Amino acid sequence: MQVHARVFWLPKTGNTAEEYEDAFYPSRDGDYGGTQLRFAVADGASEGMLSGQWANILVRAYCRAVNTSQMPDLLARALPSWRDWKQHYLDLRARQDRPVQWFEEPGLEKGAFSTLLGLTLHDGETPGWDATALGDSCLFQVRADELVAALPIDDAEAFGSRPFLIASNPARNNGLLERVHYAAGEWQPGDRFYLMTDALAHWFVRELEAGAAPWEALHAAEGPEAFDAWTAALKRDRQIRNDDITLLCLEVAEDAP
Amino acid sequence: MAYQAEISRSNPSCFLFLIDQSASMADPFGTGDAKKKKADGVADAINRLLQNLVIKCAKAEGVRDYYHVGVIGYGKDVGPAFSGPLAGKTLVPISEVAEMPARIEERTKKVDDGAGGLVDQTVKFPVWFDPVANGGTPMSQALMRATSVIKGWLTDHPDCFPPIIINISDGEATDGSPSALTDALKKLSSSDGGVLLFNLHLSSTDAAPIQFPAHEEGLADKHAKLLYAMSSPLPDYMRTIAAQEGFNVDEDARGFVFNADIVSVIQFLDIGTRPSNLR
Repeated sequence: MQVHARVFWLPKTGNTAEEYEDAFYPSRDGDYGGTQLRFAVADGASEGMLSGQWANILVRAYCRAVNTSQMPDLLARALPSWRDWKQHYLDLRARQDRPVQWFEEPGLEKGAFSTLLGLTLHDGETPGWDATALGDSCLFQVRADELVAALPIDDAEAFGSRPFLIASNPARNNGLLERVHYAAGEWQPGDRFYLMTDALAHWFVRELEAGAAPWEALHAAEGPEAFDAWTAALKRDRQIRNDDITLLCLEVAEDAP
Repeated sequence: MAYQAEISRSNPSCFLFLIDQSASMADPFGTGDAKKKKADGVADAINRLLQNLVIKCAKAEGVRDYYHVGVIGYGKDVGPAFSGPLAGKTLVPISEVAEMPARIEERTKKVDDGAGGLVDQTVKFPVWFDPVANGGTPMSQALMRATSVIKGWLTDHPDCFPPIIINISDGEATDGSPSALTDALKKLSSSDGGVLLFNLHLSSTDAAPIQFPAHEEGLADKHAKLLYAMSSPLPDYMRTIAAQEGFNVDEDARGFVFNADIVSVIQFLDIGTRPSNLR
């Protein structure tokens, strides 16, 4: 199985690249081959502290897991990584003589929050995929010119700014496991998968509801400059809200065995 | 649609607090703790509002200037009421508020011990404003001053999320009825909607706390009713978030709170994704 992957990402207008709090994996465009390929996007919540780093840890925990897409297994990988990273961060702050301020303490105690959307493609007698989703980052599967799957949200009204997210502080994950959305399906050579964070996903679902084929616009906007200009126009026309934007486009090669 | 403007560093919004500092604020507050004066209740309320607003804007690299903030006191005098390094300033970016409290006290609060009990935890409590109780209640003058400040802000920020004015008082104005001035203040607007005026009424009367009522029935006295009548309805946008935060808010709910916490108003503001499990 060969998959061609391209990623497009942009910080919220007015923010710097360092302030971008979405995450994606793999981190580079390219052709990926193997019998099991894993991809993920995540959206760190702007009201949490250090959420971008937590989103990064979650996509890596998902993509480096082997033979499991279950949330408890992913958390078992991600939470120790978070604790190590946070300790490293606090040590660095102390060494730089930048002690944690009173206004940071509540956020650090409450922790970081993020969505996670992971997709695993399996090669075998029946080529299949499985997905794990929590929050409002979305996956769409397109075959030829037809939508095959949309998850975890397929109703534009269901997008809100207060989703239940994965917390880096386990005390805030009560009820998390009941909210995880698992899905599975099959793929065929030539299928395309789009993983995206909520601003773009909301637009995508609204377009679907209007009877459009939004993947056509995504294709027309391929290339970093075209993507930037296209999303800027969507923001200007208030078709998408000003937020970090991440899009991971996957295409399964036609010559797959 | 109104109240949709993005709150960002390039398009900040504004909070203006009006604080009753009259002699009547030396009276006891509510009936629960007879030793606590209304002036202490006011000081705690404004300090907690400022603290929560700062925390909402805090990121790891610093506090983002999503808001500019002012505090106007009214009692013996009417004017800027910050204590400490910000004394005399009318509107300051929230990052300066974060960096320049008059002092940081340590207080204890009860927190969940994770096993069904409560334990004391020491928390930092920044103070920008000290209790004052002196003179009359020139609320009308304060509203005139607020109108002038907000007019200036709107000239410079015509497309901002509408400024929010929070008036904290026991409601007994001594310089005439504030109603007409209130209407003039609420008629000011940005391109995104009218200025919002919310009121926190601290009363000596023995009546149950009320948050965001939709009618004046059940309010304790004419002062509470006056402040209720002055208060803006919660915009749909805030009402939706308030409901998501667990508040029981009717369609006609107003930005009025009686002898209760108004800090929750800060959580009705949306400056990005706020997870539902962040409470």
